[in-house]
Parts: sequence; C-alpha cells; structure tokens
Amino acid sequence: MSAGRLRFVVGRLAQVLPVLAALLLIVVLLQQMMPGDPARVIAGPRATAEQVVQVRHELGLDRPVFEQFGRHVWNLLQGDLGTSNRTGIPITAIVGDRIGVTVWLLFGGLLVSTLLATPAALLMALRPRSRSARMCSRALTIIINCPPFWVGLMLASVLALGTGWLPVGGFGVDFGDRVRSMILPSLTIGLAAMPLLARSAAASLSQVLTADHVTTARSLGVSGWPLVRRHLLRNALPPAITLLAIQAAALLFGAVIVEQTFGLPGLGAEMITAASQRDFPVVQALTLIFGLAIIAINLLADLAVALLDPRTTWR
Amino acid sequence: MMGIKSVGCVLLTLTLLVAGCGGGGDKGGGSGSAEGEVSRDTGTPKRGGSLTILRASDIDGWDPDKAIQLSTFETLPQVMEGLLRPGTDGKSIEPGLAESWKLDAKAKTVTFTLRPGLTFSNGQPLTSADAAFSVDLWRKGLSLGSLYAAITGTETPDPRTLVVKMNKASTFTLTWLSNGSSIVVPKDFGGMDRKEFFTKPIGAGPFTVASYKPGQQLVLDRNPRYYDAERPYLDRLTYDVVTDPNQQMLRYQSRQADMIEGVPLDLAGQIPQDERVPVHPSATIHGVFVNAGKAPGNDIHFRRAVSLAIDRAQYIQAVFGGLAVPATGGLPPRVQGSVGCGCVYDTGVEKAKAELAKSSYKPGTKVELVVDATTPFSTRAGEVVASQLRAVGIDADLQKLEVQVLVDRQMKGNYNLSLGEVSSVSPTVGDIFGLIVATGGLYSGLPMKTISDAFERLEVAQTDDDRAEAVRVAETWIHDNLPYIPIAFPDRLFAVSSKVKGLQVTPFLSYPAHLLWAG
Repeated sequence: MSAGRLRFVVGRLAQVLPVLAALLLIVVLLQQMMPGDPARVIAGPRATAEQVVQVRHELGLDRPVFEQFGRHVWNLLQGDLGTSNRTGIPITAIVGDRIGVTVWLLFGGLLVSTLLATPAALLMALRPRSRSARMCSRALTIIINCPPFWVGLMLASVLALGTGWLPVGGFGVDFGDRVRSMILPSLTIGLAAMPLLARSAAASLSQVLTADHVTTARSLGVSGWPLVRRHLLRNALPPAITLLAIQAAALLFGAVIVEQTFGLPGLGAEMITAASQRDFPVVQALTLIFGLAIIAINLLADLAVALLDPRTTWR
Repeated sequence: MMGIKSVGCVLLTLTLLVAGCGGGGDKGGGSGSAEGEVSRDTGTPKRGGSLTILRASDIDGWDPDKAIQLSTFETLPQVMEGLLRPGTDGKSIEPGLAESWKLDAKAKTVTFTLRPGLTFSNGQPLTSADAAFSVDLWRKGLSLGSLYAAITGTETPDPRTLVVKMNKASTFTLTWLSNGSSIVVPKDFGGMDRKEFFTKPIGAGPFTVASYKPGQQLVLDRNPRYYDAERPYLDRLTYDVVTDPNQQMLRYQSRQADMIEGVPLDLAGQIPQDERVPVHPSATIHGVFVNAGKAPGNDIHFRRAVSLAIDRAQYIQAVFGGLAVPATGGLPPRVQGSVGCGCVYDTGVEKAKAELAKSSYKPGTKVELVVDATTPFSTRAGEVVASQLRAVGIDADLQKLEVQVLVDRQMKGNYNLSLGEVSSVSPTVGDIFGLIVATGGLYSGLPMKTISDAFERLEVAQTDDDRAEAVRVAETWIHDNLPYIPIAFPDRLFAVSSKVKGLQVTPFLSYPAHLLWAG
C-alpha cells in the first residue's frame, strides 16, 4: 500500500474513534434514562427494597454514570466485553455463539438483493420504455410496500410448509442444514433491500448512459455487453457501492426482524431479548458491535470507491 | 409464588403471556377432559427416541433462586430432582429423591428417607448431607428464601435420613418442597463456586444437560444413573426457545417440533382438534390490578364500580375466545386449598354506575389503564376493559407499554389500573397467597394484615377444613376490599403431536418429563 493510501486509511480510522466514543456514551446515558430496573428484574418479585439495592450494588449500577462509562471503556480496551447480568455468561461467548447467524444472514441478503437488483436496474436503465421495464418498476413498488415480517411469514408458509423442501425456521446443525435454513431468511431480507438498490442503480446507470463518453463509445460502434461492462458499469459502480454500504447498515437492522420471524439465534434476536430484560452489558456490547460493523462497512466502501475512481487523490 | 404471564402483570414476565392467552380458538376439545385431568397417555411406554418441545421463554438459569418463569420451575427438577415432586392432580405431593417422609407428633419436624443407592449424574453418591446443604441453599435465597422461612435447621443422622426442623407445624412448607425450585445439588456445589456450578449443573434428576445455549436451545439426555432404571423413557429431550408465536406454529406444523408448551389462544384454531391438550382452567388469576395508594383507586366504591363494570362473560368471549371461566375468587383454582370465596363477583352497568356515583371519582377524570404492548392479546384485552369501563362512565385512558416500562410504573405506583395475571407454580394456593402478602396485595398499597394472618393460618393448617377456612378468610377479604379485581381463570393450551405420549399436565403447567415417551 502506498504512503498516500495508508494515510487515507489511518485518517478514516482516526475519524471513527470519536464516533465510537459518542456511540458508547449515548448508549450508557440512554440506558440510565430507560424505565425498568435491571436489579429488580434479577432480584425477582419477592425481593425487598433492600435486596434490590444489594443487587444494584453488586451490578455496579449505583455508581456514577461517568464511572460506569469509564469502567466500561477500560474493560473494552482490554478486550473484555463484560458478562451478561442475566445469565452470567461472558458476552464474548454470547457474541461468538450468535454472530455467525447474523453474518450468514447479511451476506445472504446482500447476495440476493444484488443478484435481483442488477438485472432489474439494467433493464430499467437500458430499456426504460419497454413493457418489461414498466412491469419491473411496478413489481418493485409492490415489494417495497411489503413488510419483511409478512414476506417472511408468507415465504415460510408457501415455500417451506407448503413443499417441505426448506425448514420453516431455526439455524440447523451442519453446513448443509444451515445453507437450507438461510435461503428463506436471505430471500426475505434481500427482497426488502432490493427495490431501493435497483432503483438507485437504474438512476445511476441512466445518468451514465447520457454521459459524453458513452455517446462517443456508441458512435464508435460499441454496443451491447461491451458497452455495459466497459463504459456503464465501471462508472455506475462507485455510487452503487456507496448505496450498497448504506443498504448493508439497513440490512443489519432488518436482520433483527428477520431473525425473530424465522427464529434465528443471531445478534439481532439477542439484542431484543437483552433490551427487554434490561441486560445492559449485553445491550452495550451489541450496540458497539453493530456500530463497528456499520463503520467498517462504510470504510470498506469508501476504500473501494477510491480504488475504482481514478480521480481519487488519497487525501 | 407466581409464574407471571401477563398482560401487564404485576411484575415481569410477561412475554410468557403469549404462551397462554388470547382469544379466538374453538372451545374445548382436544385430549384434555374434565377439569383436573389433562393427559395424553396411551399404550405401553416405549424406551428410546427423542422429542422436541417449543417454549416461548427460556429458563431463568439453573440457579433455583432466580426462578421466575414457569419454564424454570418445570425444567430444573428434570436435571436436579428434589426430595418431593408434585402429583399430576395439582394438589398432592409424591416421592422424589425421598422415598418417604414422616411428620412428628407436633408436625414441626419432617424426617425424609432418601431412596437407596442414589447418585448424581456424575456418579458421586447422593446423601443426606447433600440434601441438607440444598435445604440451606433454599432458605438463604434472596428471592425465594422467604417461602422456606419456617425451616430452622436440618440434621443428618445417617446418609439416607434428613431431618428438617421447623418453627411451626407448616404443612405449606412440606407442599412447597415439591415445587421446581426445591432442588437437590451436591454439597458445596461439588467443590465449585455457586456461579460455576449453575453454568454446568449436576443433579440426580432423570436427565442431564447435554447442551444449553441460553435463549436458544436446551438439550437434555437420559441420565443412565437415575434411580428408576425404567425411566426416563426418552433418550433425548430438546427444548427450542422460539418467541414468535407464528414461527412456533410453523415449526409445529412442519413437524420440526413435537409439542408447544403454551399456544397463544388466538392460534388455537390452527391446531387440529385431536392435538390440543387444554388445561381447563389453569391455576392462574387474570384480573385488573388496582393502585389503591392514590385516587381514584383508593376509594372502595370506585374499585367496586370497576369490578361491576366488567362483564366477565363478554370479556372471556372477546378476549379468550371462551377458553376461560369467570373468576370465582381471588386465588388460583385447582390447587391445594382452592375453595373460592363463596361470594359473587357481580356484574351490571347500572349497579356499576350507582357505585361510581357513591365514589369520589369525578366524571371526566382520566384513569390510566396500563397493559403490555407486546402481544395482540394483551392490547385487545386492554381495549375490552377500557370500553367496559367507559360504558359506566369511567374515562379509561388505555396505555400500551413495553413490559419493563409497565413494571417500572407499577413498582413506582405510577398507574391507576393494570391488566395482568399471576399463576401458581406449586400444588398449593399458598404460593400466590404468600406473593400477595410479600407484594402488598400485588402492589395495591392496601394493608395486608388480614391476608398475612390468614396465610399464617394456612401455613399450619393440618386438615382440609382448616386450610379451607384460612383461604376463605383471605378470599372474603379480597372480595370485600378488592386489592385487585379477579376477572377469569384462563385455560392454557398445549399443542401435542401424536408422537408425544405419556403427557400429564398439572394446573400449574408442570409435567413430569420422565414419563414422556415417543410413539
């Protein structure tokens, strides 16, 4: 990597640190304001007020907010995400156990949305007035209005329950099982993300189509796939990658719903459980991980765009 | 004690609610029969095989003092059996690790005789020293310790004899020892610390923990060292935690699972008639909890008006789809000591209006009715109550809240009315009775002296008549003072495929898993 590129990456990483710090602080402050006492949840309905106070003390929840924040950051710097208040299990173990499901789901969703959005975008951009392009556009409008949990339920009812080919939920135990169990969730999340991606890519392609260099290429007799590959896709790709990065972040949050719908034991499902049980260490850790994931995805997208765009000056 | 499920319960829980409530199903049917008898028991049990059971909420962990959810009380003894176990009639107790027990003349000392040759699943012998250590563990519990308050100490004259001494002739304590939190663990946790032990528990129950992923799945394997060579019949029992009721239904229908522990009653219609096992009714009280610490709930006339405003028959039809019976008392039915109050929870719009007119309630004043927002059932229940209250002139302000927000508001007295449920977790009415005392009438704020005295009488009642008399005092006080307003005793519904045999469910939704077998 050249010195310029290295400086670019380091610079972007340096910008990430204050974002992360702000994210952590907001999470700590928000949970202070949240109604619901984790000590009461743990102590149980019969516990006296004194016993609840004792539990609160053991959890360190009676310490000043900034002390809690400082302790949390200090532990993080040592690679310690803490332990779950409810189960006493190290959060690293919880994350390790569940992150695979969410990663499978994200990649599956991105794959599905990209595979479906690309031909749709090409069709709408290259033949905007054709009947099939209009049908495609209407289909996208319908899809974008279908809530993912409903789509998931329908897919599970029709494709899994109706045929028995695929499991209706769960994550399976071996590789083959897992691939099969991820098909419907990936389809659900991919369908949710696809319309926006397709429309944006189509708009981007349409813009490139009217660019001077494309007109010139056409006048020189370049057409069909060579035109698309050499002149259209390459120029339309940077905005598409940026959009894909934004979509990936959206998919991460969409995964929370889809994991619930299909009973998948991923990070999103864990986040919901932890929040409902006021298991603050787990909520903090997962928020941090989600934040890091989004930052990492955007960073990678920026790097990819910079690599693709010859005008990048690596500053 | 309570195993709350709720619509806004008194405390926690409540995602469980899904497990049991809702409306719209066909009434009756299934394999359950008359009140008190719920079983799926056909043919000669067969050894081997496995079953997968779906549940909406995971256990609260393996530490018995953390038990809140019904699933915890149900599951812990499967791995760490106790001295006693509940009978499937919901009222009796049966031998567990103790093959017999004897009370002394004053009924203040219980002598348990352990079964011969007991071992933990790791092969270590189980002796009275382990049982004595466990009794001490229960007594010192932060959450449930008060339920063992009558126990003053133990003696272990020999490895098979445990003497439990009490400061009074507490028959309640003996019955309570059959509940799912009174489990026997190795002395000194087998050399581990408490936290470490309860991450990998060892017991002398019919099963051992093959794997446990909190919030996801619990796999139990047959304990080959169990004292009964015949049982458990199953080689493996898997519990999958699936919170989404639609996903539960899909898995059941696709036969990815063999049984659902609690089907939301809304979805009852999706279960084939011959696969429904209803618990009719369950040992659960569904009602409106009142904040009697502030106006207008501090006025008995207002509370009576609320009670009169609720048309229980209509409510049961609209909310439970008929799968409940009107409450005939303030304590759960179908467990030891359930006698009802012999009084009537009357209904009538005109009577309610007349009672409201006597109260200090000013027409137009908003009355907050808080309900759990997380299930369609609870919000619908809230809407029905709100409309019935408005019909008599109470301006109900329905607020649908996230469970912990709701609990927080209840704890702080920041509400007027709350819709919820409490359930028994043992074969005695005493556990709810005790909960009412411990929580000040389920957070009503009313003085609990009468109930507390009645509980003390119940605790030492030696005969059914004594027990009934103590309960009647409490029931009458609840009826007259309305710290909460009982509406219904709801059913619970299990979805059970034809593969599952040997199922016997108690009114408090416990079932002996060692009797299950795969057909």
